[in-house]
Amino acid sequence: MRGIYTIWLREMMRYSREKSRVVSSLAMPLFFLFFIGSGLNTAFTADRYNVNYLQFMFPGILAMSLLFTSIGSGLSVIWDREFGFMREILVAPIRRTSVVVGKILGGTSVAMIQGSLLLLAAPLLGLSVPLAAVPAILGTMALISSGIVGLGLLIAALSESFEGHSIIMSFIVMPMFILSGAFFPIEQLPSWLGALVALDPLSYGVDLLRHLILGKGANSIALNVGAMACFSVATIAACTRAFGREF
Amino acid sequence: MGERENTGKPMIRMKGLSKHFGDLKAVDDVTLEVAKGEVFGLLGPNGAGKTTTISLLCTLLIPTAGSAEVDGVDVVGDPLAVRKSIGVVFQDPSLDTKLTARENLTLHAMLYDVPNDLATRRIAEVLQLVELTDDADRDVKTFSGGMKRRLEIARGLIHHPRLLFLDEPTLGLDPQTRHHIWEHVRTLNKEKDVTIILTTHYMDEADALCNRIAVIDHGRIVATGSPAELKEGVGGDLITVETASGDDVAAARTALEGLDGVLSVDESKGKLMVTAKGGDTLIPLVVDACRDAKVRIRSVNLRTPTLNDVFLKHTGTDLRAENGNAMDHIRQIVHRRGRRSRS
Repeated sequence: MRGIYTIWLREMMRYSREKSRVVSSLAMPLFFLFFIGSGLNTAFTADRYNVNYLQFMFPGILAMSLLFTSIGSGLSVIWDREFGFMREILVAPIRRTSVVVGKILGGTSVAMIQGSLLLLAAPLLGLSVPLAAVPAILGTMALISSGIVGLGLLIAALSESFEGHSIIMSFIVMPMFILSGAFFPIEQLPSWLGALVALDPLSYGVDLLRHLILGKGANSIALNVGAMACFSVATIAACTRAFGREF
Repeated sequence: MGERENTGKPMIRMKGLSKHFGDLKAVDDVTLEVAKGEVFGLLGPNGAGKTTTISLLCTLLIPTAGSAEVDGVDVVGDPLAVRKSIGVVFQDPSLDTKLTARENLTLHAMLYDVPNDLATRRIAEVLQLVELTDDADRDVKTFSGGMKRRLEIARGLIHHPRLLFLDEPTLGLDPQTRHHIWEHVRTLNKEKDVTIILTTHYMDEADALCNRIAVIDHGRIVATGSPAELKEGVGGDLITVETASGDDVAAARTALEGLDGVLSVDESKGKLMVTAKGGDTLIPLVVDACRDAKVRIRSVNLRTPTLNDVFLKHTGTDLRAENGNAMDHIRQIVHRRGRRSRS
């Protein structure tokens, strides 16, 4: 237990050091919201949702923030490996599974803090978040983050070095983001696009957040929760397998 | 072979230990015991298999064949127990440079389950030992190479390991810092009773610190013994005697050949080359013998074999001229791959 706590604590210590990371990872979603949201506001009408584009986009942007923060936490293992701290952890008398669990909890905590800051900023941008839904929103955020940290760890375990970082961003993270439906309603898409969206685990997270924040979504809540839970369990199990062997 | 009195079980026991990366035999059938309380050196050029041997002993790699025990515990059977009893200072830095020195030490204490109040005390203690108390709350990224090394040594001690691995502890450091670190190593061994395994390719380092040395090359142990024994094994000291006039060389030769400890006397360019055991204690006897034979001496020169001569004898290559070799380079790369693919 103390091993898990130590790995988690290190993530938090590093996060508290990186003021620039806090600011920049908060700035990007706010820019998206403010500029793209305002820019497309006039062109967009989502009759079904009956809200302006800024408000429509907010759940998607929240998910985006979680995606980028979480995947970064998972991939940071590559840095630990390149710069040596990983060896300090690997010769320590703690189980490899504790390292994985600590990393996932640490990455999830960081993403939750980022997401919560965004939630707090929402009223300043004139966006509404139903107060009663906040606990469920936080739960969804944790579910999304843990799955994606797991995915990041899995990619880190499988990749040799951070030379592959841009490939990962271009071919995994960006498609996940774009196909998540963060920018557009996923109802009534062309069937090929609908199929791709349905394959993107993040689309269920976005839809679930829409249910909670906008009161409506494309999928049923049960499908969203089920899909996200499966995704989390699968990635965490896979990265535990990849990292969890004692050798 | 320098067998120290073995009271109880050895700290390390390797039996036929091997690690292959594809065709490369990084560690090849190594059988070796290290007694408790020793400062044991693994001496060899880059790519000889020193770091791989250490990685096997600290449970970072799984052996291809053979077995290894640390303090009686099999490294494959119970890696967690082995990790608990060892401290490791890696060749490559392994600090979190974004955190302060104290934070690095605190995390280490937590990883090794040292209770908080005890950890606070020990952190203060080790910081003092490596003279980093005043820099404890600075970010590690602002530290010099020597400071980082000292911090890593300090970190390796917080959990009071019975066995400490130091992989090239002074690589790339200035002479002053090197001597500083040597002092720490001696203190640890004597006062804290820590068994130390040290890898180095500096001969003076091995000579200054180790009770016993294994010379390792191409993954195999080619010689073991105390530095003195190994040097004696090379063939003794060489004393060169030059007489004042040159005609009395023959008389001097007869006089010297009768001395205890002299192995052979040869004449070369009017000088006498004496191969002997314990050359330093022989010099006064040489001088006396020549005086008794009424031979006046111009100069006496003593050259004792270095560990480099030992290395030369056993491996056929010079330890000092070991870089730039293409094969070594390839070995290093393969070695790094091997390390990486396992994590």
